[in-house]
Amino acid sequence: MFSDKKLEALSYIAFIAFIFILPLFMDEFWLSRFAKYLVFGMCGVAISLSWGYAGILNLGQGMFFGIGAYSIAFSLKLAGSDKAGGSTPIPDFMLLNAEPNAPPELGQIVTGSWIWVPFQSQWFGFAMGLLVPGVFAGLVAYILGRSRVSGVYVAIITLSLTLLGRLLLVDQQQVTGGFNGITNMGYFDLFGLELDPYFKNTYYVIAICLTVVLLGLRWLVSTKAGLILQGIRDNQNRARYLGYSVSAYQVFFFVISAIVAGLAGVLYVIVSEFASPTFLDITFSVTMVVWAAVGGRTSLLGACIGAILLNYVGATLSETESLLYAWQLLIGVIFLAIVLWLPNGLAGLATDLVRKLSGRKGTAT
Amino acid sequence: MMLSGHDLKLVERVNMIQSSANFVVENLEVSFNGFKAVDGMNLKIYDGELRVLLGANGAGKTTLMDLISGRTKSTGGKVLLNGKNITNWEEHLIAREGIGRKFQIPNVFRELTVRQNFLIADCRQTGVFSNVLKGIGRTLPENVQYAVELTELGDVLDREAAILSHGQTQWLEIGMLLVQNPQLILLDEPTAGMTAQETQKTAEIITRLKGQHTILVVEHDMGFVRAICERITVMHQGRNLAEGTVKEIENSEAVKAAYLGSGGIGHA
Repeated sequence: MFSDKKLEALSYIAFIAFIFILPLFMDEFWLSRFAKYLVFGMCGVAISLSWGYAGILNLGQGMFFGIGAYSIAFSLKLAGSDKAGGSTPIPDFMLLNAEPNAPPELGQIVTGSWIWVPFQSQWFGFAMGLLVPGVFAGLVAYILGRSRVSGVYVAIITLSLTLLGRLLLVDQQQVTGGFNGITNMGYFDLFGLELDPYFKNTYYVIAICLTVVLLGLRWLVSTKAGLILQGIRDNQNRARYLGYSVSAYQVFFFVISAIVAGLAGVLYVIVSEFASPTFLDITFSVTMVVWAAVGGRTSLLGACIGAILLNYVGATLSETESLLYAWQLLIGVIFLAIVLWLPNGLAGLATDLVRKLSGRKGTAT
Repeated sequence: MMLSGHDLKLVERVNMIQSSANFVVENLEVSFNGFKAVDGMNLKIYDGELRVLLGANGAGKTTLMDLISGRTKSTGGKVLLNGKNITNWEEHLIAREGIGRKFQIPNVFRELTVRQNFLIADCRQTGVFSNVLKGIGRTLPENVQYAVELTELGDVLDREAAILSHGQTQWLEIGMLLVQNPQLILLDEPTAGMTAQETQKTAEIITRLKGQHTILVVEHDMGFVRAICERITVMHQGRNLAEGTVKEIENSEAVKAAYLGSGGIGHA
């Protein structure tokens, strides 16, 4: 007989083994693609934590992803830029935006460019990519929790904040690269190992990150705090009358979820070598929610696999000539079918199947 | 004369009962758009006492419970627990101070299993970080085991709370209160919707709680009240109308006047 717990442990082992064996069977092109899918998988995990476990439907995950992406992009852009006569490297788009007589120093060349100065250290960029989403998410969740905003209003507010962030990015072109985003970057230097997106090492680094995030969060939700969080999702009032501060728990897990999304943003830039305001589009944030819904929002691994699977299927379909125009429709149909018939997504389907099979075995013998 | 240890304890206990009304409501009031649902309510409950709150629909009983537990903010008056003014605190802070509540409509974590419900109710530590460092063991803590035995929910521990019977759900909530172990327990119609048998079992559970906790219970079922009760407080139009033993209340002129035509509280 398979208990649910055993099934879960086996799925985790199988998944982790799968992502580490994959490089043996794939060329660099597909491996780099799959590295991106793993990053999206991490986004799915973050959504599952905030939506599935904390019950906060966050349509602003793209903002946290975007902040992470831009933080590391600043650093990597500087790593790939040359000096323009001064003592610091200057990104090319800043030179285009600069006044004719602006001093060729990073801190002064355009208004607001001083913000780039500390990003000359890539570890600073990396740290900010996790820290800023965390602090920002904490602030947002605290304010929403204080005023007991919940449900669909949280979705609307987080979505609006994301669009506001996008507006800011596009508007402050001289420091952010505007619509074009940031491209032409250097590589991240991991203790002497250059993370070229088409190298196996980069894939492994991302696979390790995903594994750590998955297992770490799986542990976190299995603690008493994780159980209390699920209680809060289920019945806030009951939790309050037991003495738990609903907002404290929601803020904590929302922050963790945002940090994971920030990390995903950082890794995405490392593997794709660009950052763009499209990360803060409505579509991207909503797409992430769809990944989690398809995979199963109440299962961290399910949401992760959902993200990877949908991206893989999407890429394959979109490259099939006969489906060139219909592939998005197909994805939509898959989504609808799952929402209608599988409320717990693919993870729920897997659990049910195993339960049924083992149940049949039990009666047969 | 020398007093033995036992006598001393008795003396202490008598003194304590005489001196300490550890839960006090003073001139409490709340108005909803000008309507005073609770209007100058006064109440003193002694440590370990079981007090029944009676009153017709709209007398303000549930609102009083809402005010005490922080769900509704009062517009005047005070609530004191152990001399501490806890009026209008946030719900979770009042709960931490030692007040637990059972709602009229069963209020449990329906999507979670009975076991998980009990575990969450074990809330000696409420902070996020102290609970992050706490794993969930296979064996239930002693206080949880005790509550499971008392409520006889041992067989359904791994079922979702949503599929329990009405009576079981009510007992689960009472059991969770036991685990929470608050000084003062507020019970809002614990036998509502129960069969006679279920009511009897509930009366047994509540009687077991007597003495270890201070209990304030809203209840209409007079048989049930007679089975569990020491003193009754009758609420009328948001105020404390009368207080006394079951007999005193049944013979009270004020109560009769308030319920005129309905034949006394037995038919309220």
